[in-house]
Amino acid sequence: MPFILSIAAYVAVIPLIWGVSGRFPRAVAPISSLPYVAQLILVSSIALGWVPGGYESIDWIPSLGVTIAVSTDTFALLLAAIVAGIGLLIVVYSAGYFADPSRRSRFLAQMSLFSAGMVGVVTSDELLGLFVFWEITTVASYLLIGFDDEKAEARASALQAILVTTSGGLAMLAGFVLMAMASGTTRISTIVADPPTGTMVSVALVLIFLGAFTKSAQFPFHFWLPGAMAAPTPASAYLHSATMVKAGIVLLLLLAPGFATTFLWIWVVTATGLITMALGAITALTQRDLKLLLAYGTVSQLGFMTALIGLGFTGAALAVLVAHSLFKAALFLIVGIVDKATGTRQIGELSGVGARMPIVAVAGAIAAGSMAGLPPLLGFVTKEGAFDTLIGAEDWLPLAVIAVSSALTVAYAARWWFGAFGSTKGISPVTAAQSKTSMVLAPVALGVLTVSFGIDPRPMAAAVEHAVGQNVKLVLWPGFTPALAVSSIVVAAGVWLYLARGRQTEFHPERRRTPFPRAADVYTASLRGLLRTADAVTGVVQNGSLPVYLAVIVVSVLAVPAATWLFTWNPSLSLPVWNHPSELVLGVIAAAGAVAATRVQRRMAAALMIGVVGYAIAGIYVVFSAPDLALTQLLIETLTVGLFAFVLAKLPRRFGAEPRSLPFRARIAVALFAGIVVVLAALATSTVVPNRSVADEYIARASDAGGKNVVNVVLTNFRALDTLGEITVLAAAGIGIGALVRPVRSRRERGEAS
Amino acid sequence: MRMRFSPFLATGAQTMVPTLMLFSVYLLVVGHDVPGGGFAGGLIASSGLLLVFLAFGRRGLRRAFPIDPETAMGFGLVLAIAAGVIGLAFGGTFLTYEYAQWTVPVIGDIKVSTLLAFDLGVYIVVVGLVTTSIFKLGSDPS
Repeated sequence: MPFILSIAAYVAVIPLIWGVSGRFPRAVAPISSLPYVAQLILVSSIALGWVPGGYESIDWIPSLGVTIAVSTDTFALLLAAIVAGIGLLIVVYSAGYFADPSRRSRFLAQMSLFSAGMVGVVTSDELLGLFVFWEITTVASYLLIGFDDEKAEARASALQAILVTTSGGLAMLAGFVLMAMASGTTRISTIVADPPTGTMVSVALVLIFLGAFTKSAQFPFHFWLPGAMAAPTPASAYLHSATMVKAGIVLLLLLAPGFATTFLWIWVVTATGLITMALGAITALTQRDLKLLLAYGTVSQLGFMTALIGLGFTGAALAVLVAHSLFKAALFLIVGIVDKATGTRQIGELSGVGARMPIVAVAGAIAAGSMAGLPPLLGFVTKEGAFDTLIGAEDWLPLAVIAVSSALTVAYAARWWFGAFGSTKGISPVTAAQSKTSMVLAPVALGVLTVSFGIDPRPMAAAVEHAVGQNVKLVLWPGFTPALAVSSIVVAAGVWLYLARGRQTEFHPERRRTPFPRAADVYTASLRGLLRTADAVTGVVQNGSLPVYLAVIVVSVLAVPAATWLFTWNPSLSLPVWNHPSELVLGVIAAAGAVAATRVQRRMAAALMIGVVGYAIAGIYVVFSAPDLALTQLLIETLTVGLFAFVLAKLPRRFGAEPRSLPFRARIAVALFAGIVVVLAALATSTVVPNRSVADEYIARASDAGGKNVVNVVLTNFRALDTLGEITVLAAAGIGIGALVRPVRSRRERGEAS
Repeated sequence: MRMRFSPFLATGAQTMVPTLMLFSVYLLVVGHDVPGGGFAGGLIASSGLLLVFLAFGRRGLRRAFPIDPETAMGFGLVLAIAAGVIGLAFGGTFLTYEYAQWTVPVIGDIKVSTLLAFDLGVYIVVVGLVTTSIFKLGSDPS
C-alpha cells in the first residue's frame, strides 16, 4: 500500500516538525517538504509504470464495512500531482514568507495535515473514506484561516468557514449513506459504473450537492471564501484557490459519469455554476483589495467548472481546473510578495511596483494573462476548449453567460495586474523592499508551467482524456473556428470593460441597494437567531437553582421510558417476594434509610441516611453473589458521603433555611413521578424473561479473553469501547468540576473569619 | 462543618493509607480473574487520598499526589486509548489486547498484557476525577 503510506507521511512529519522547530528552525522547511517530494516521486513512478498502481485499501471498521480506499487512476494521479506539486512550491515560498520561525513551523505543520486530507479526497474510492479526508481538510482550513488567532476578524472568518463547510459536509454524509443504501456499496467506482435510480438517489444527490457547493464556494454559500482571505497568503494560495475549494468540483467529477444525465443534475449543477460564475466575476471587478479580488475571481472560476460539469463536460471542466490551479496559486503568491514588500495590497495605494520588481511583474502578467484567457497560455487553451465543447453541443445560453463572465474576467485580470504593478498618476511610487528568492521561485515556476502547457497542450489533453474519458480539443492554434471568434470577442469586450469601468479605484457597492438579502447577512442572521434561541432555552432550564436543575434532569430522563410504557405496559406480576430471607432485612434497612433521609432536618444527617440506603443495596448485591457490583457500590457510597461532606460545609446546616426556588408541591410531584417510574421500571425489568444467550456467550468466552472474572472481562474486553466512553465522560466531568468550581470558602468560614 | 486537625485521624491515616494503596494496586492487577479491576482499584486509591486530605489537609494531599489531577485524568485517558491502538497496530482491531506470558521459577506464571494498561488508564482517570473534586470542593482543616 505505497500510496496510503504516502498520505500517512504528511501526518507523520508533523511531530518531526514540532521536534526540530525549537532547536533547528532551519530544518523545518526541508523536513516539511519531504512528503511532498515523496508523493511526487510516487505519482510519477506510478504514471510511468515503474510502480504498480491501482486499488489500495485498509479495513477501518470491518464490522460496518467501512474501509479507507484509494484508487490511483489517471484522474487521481493528476490531481495528487497538483496537490503535492503546488504544495511543495508553497513550502518553499512560506520558508521566505514567515520571518518568525515558530509561526513558520506552525503553518507548515497545519498545512501538512491539510495535504494529507486533500490527497485523500482526490484519490479516495470509498464514500466514507472520502468524507473523513474531506473533514480533515475542513478542520485544517479552520486552523489556517484562524492562523492569526489574536485577531477577532480571523477567528470570526474561520468560524464562518467551518460552520458553512461542515454543515454542507454533514448533509453530504447523509447523502453518502443514502447513496450507499440505494446502490449497496460504498465504492465510488462501482456506484458510478451501475448508478442506482429512484427518489432516494435524488435526495442523496441533492444532499451531496450541498456538500460540494459549500466546499467549492458556490452561490449562495460562496461568502465564506472571501472571508477566508484572513488566512496567511500561502494558505489562501494553496487551500482557497489551488486545492481545497476544488474538492467539491472533484466530487462532482467523480459522480458525473453515473449521474450527469439526470434531469436534477443538469439543472441544479448548471444553474448554480452559471449564477456563481457571473456573480463572482461582477463582484471581483469592484474590489479594491488585490487578494479579495482574487477570492471573488476564484468563486467565479469555480462556478465556471461547476457549470461545465452540470452540462456533462467533465473533460473541459478538468482542463479548466488544472489551468486555474496553476495561475491562481501564482496570483495569490504574487499578492503576498507585493504585500510583504510594500506593506499594502490596496489598488490605488500601489504605484510603480512593476518597475521595482520586474521578474514578479512578468510572472504576474503570465498568471493574469492565463486567467484572462490570452494566448499562448494554458488559460487560453482550456477556455478555448470549453468554448469549443459548448458550441459543439449547441448550449447557447450557458455559452452566453460564460462568455459575458469571461469578458468580466478579462477586465478584473487587467484591473488586478495594473492595480498591482502599474503606475498611477498622482500617486508617488511606493518603496519596495527586496523580495526573497525563495518567494519568487514559486510564481516563476508556475508561470513556466502555464506557458509550456500553453504552447504544447498535448500532454495535458492526453492526461485529461485518460482521466475522465472525454476528449477535449486542447490546441494552441485551432484555426479560424467559432470558438476563436468567441474568444476574440470576449477579450475585446473585456478590454473595453476595463477601460470603461475597471480602472476606477473606488466602487461603492453599499450605495446600490438590491432587493435581495446578501448571503453573508443571511448567515449572520441565522447564527444570531440560533444563539438567541439557545440563550432563551438556557435561561429557562438553567436558571441557577439546583432544585430546578435536578427536576429538569429527573423528569426528562424518566419521561421518555414512562411514555413508552404507557403504550406497551403488560404487567405479569408473578414475582416472589424475596429469594432469600436476608433480602427482607436489607430491604427494610434501605427503606428506613430513605424515609429517614426525608425526615431529618440536618443536611449532613440526610447525606448519611442516603449512604445507609446505598450500603443496604450493596448488601443485596452480595446476596445475589455479585461481588464486583457490591464492592463498587460500597466504595462509591463511601466516597460520595465524603465528598458530600465537603459540599455541605458550604451550605446551611439545616434544610429550609433558604428561600425555595421550586415550590414544595412541585417537588413532591417530581419525587412521586420519579419514584413511581423507577418502581415500574424495576417491576418491568424483573418480570421480563431474560434472554440468556448474550450472558451465556459472555461467560463461555471469558476464558478466551484470558480472564476468569466475567464482569471485568466484559468491562475491558467485550464492551471496552463503552468503558472508554465512560472514562471519557468521567474525565470531561472532572474537567468541568475543575473549571466551574473555584475553591471558595463557605459562608460560615467567611463569617468566622470576619 | 469545619474540620480541625485530629491526631487520631492522622495516626489512623498513616497506617491505613499505605494499606489502601497496596490493596488498590492489588485489585487493579488481579481484576481480570477475581473481583476488582481498574474502577474498583481507583476508588480504593481515591478513598485513601480522601483520608489523606481529611487528616493532613490540602498541603498533605498535594504531597501525597504531587501532579496536577486534571493532567493525570488526561494521561489516563491517553493511556487507555493507546492500549487500544496497540491492538490495532498488531493487526487486530481497536481495543484488542496483546499478551505475553512467562513462567518464572518460584513465583509462577506472569502474565503481562496491554489490557492492564487499559485498566490502569481507567484507574488513573477515576483517581484524577476524585482528586480534582477533593481539591476543588474540600475545605482545609485548620
